[in-house]
Amino acid sequence: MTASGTLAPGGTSADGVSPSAVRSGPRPPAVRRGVLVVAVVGALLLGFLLVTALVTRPAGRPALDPASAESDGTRALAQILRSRGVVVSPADAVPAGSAGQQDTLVVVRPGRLTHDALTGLLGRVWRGSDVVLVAPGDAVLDALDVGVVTADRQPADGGSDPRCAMPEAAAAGSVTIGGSRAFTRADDGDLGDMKLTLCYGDPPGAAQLAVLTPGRAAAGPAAGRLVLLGSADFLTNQELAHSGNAALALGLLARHPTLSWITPAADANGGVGTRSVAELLPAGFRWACLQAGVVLVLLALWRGRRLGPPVPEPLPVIVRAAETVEGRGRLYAAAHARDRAADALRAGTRVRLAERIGLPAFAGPGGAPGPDPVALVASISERAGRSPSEIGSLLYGSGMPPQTTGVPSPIGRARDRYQSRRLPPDVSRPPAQAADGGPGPRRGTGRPGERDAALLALARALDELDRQVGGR
Amino acid sequence: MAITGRAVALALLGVLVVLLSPAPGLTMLLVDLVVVGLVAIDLTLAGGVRTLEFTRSGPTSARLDQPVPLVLGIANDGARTVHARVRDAWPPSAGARPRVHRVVVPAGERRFLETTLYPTRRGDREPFRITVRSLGPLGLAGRQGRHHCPWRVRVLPPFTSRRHLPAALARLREIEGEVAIRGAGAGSEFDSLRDYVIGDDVRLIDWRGTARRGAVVVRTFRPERDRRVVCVLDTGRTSAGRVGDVPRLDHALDAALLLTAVALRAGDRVGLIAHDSAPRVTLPGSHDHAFLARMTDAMARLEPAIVEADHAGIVSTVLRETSRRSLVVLFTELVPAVIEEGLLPALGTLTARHTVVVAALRDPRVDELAAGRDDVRSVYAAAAAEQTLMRRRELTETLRRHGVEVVDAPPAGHAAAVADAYLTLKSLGRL
Repeated sequence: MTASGTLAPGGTSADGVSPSAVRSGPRPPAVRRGVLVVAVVGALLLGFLLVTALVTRPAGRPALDPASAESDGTRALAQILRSRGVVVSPADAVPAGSAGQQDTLVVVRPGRLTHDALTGLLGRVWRGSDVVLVAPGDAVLDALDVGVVTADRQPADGGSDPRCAMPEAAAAGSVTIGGSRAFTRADDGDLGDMKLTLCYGDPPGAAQLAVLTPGRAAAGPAAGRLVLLGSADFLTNQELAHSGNAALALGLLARHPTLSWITPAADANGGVGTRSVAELLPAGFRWACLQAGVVLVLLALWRGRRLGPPVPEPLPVIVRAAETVEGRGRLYAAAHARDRAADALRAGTRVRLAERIGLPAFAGPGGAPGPDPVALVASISERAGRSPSEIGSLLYGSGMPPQTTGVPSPIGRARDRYQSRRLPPDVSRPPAQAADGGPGPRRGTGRPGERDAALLALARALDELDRQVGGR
Repeated sequence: MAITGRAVALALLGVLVVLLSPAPGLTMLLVDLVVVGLVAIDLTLAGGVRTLEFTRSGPTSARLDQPVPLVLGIANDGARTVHARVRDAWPPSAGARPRVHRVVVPAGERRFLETTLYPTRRGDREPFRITVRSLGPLGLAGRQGRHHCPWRVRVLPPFTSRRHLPAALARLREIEGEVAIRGAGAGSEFDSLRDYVIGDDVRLIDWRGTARRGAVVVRTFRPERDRRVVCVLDTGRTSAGRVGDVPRLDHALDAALLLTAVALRAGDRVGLIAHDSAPRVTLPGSHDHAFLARMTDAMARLEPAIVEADHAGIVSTVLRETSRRSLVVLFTELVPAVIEEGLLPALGTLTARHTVVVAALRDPRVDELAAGRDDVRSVYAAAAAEQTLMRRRELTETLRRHGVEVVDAPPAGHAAAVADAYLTLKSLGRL
């Protein structure tokens, strides 16, 4: 607490209403609000950083990568398959297969494949290959057009039992296939000459495993098949050892000597399941935006409704009395009107000096402006101790015209010009010399800046004279 | 009606609900219905605005530099308590504070709000409108309405030159010979006879009285009383220019008030004429002491008019309003356009009948400019200022040759200089 604070203890006791010049009371509301805003923004930023740090996974191998030993990788499965003599080759696109080749194709994110690629995969099935699609969405199923859709409802329980007659499933028994996606047969779907087997979950309403086999070669070992997995969780390193997961995986994937583990690149264009940003946002987002619009309207209504209109008031003109003088000064400066300015300065000094030494400031019969030149120069030179010619040239300009008024006439100006031409020393005197107190050249031949400097020198010389005469 | 920030906050909360809701469309509808419903309930339950009654009390006039405490009474004749925000709107130059009052008026009761005006300009100030916003119990929305409650506060000239009054009155007493100092009072009007004491001027002996009384008596004199003074204010365009932060007219009003105060004390009759292109205010002469208050009141509403003053009109108004010889104090500006073109042609008739004083205000800014030597531009400005000062000197000279006294003083001493000029003329017996 400063001394001024103790002098004004009313700063806090007067409810903060009294305008106190002493800064000892509570901080002004503007400062408090500013601190609050900074604190809120800081808190939001910190929260955002925290959430970002928690949500983002460390950069590593993606889920279901056959080379990944993470809990969500599938390296264990790949090892087992390799030990069974299956060649597992990761790929990021569907490899072109030769005509008679029968192999297994696992597509991890089928939504990233294009419509043509999916149709091609269906063709591979007809030619005898196994195609396993992991968690295909509606878009993928539509593109395949095999009469299977994702089920509206979830399976009743974990769905660990096969509940179907498929040999591999029956052999594997219960598995932890899990996942949130289930399949069913479309109501009006055409299976396209394929046989549909629905296993696990709650078939036929919501099955987590759907196997489609081309109709004619039913159950033949050479026949290809299309396997739709509701989830691939049971293939991961973490889950593979549980229940009959490994058995089911081998049954589904180990039928052909080669296996392509296809993870299409994320930036592949034209994928049927690729969704735009708008589709990725939660369903409530658009409505929330609409509600935000409503909030904006309410905000406008709140802030826009004022407590009475502004009060009109006829205001007086506000013009400074000295404005014309200042304006004229600027005009002089703009026009470099040195003659006029020098005349005015000299006339003013003349009258001031005359008043000071007691000469009538307005001599002459008609009250001619300005004191009597002869008497003034004589008197001033005596008091200032300078030569009359110097004083005369300072007070009346070069040539000492018999009568110079505050407002020089055109004739007077012409005469001045004529006389200054006849007086070369005055013209050729450099400004530096003029600044020493000598009479400044009124009309130089140099640049405007130099000649303006001469005017400044003249003004200072007149001031100097004023001081000499006044400082008795 | 009007909604509050709470209603907006409620709708904002709804955004979060809609975002997280499984059925967003329906939720949004529900949320907005809730908001609208609550606002409607609040509006219904809010106290009525029309049933309020307003009354005012407080001073009706004040000097410019004084705050004006006004009381606004609210009576609630309605059936419900009114939680109100009341804005008692005044023009900006009235400086009404606080801007908005918050008040709770239970049904059938009355509350008083205090609005203080801090006027920044002379003249009449009238309240514009009272706006009331009566909020409901939830504070979500309110009814809004207006009331009128007329009042008028006349803001008088500040009369800052009052501080010069004691000095001027002291000088007046000196002139009147009422103080025990050397020398008799000045003036030429016969006052009384008293006994001769050694040292009195023998020329003052009243022989007739001496003969009657048997002892030598001398006459004493005092300044003339019951003279006439007319303050003439030029309210034309030149009076609008600001010297310092105050128009020339306000400086002139200040000086006129001091002159009037002194002249009334000296027993003279004072009149007031304000004139630009037409007469604005005309107060006939009076030696009543209440005249100062009347004059202040009349001055409160004077504003500079942006027209050229009609000096012939001013002179004819002065001649019309004054029957006897008077001291005419003309508050105007010493610029060639005013003096040479307007005043000089009309001055002859005025000086023939009256003693004329021209009171002009010297702008310190011009003197400041004339002393400028900082750079070339300031020297040019100094030249322009010198020229202006030169013209003033010439005009002063011209006016003096016409027999007019000229007072040309800066604002700080303007009023005192005018009062001094009056006292000097009075002591010289020139009134």
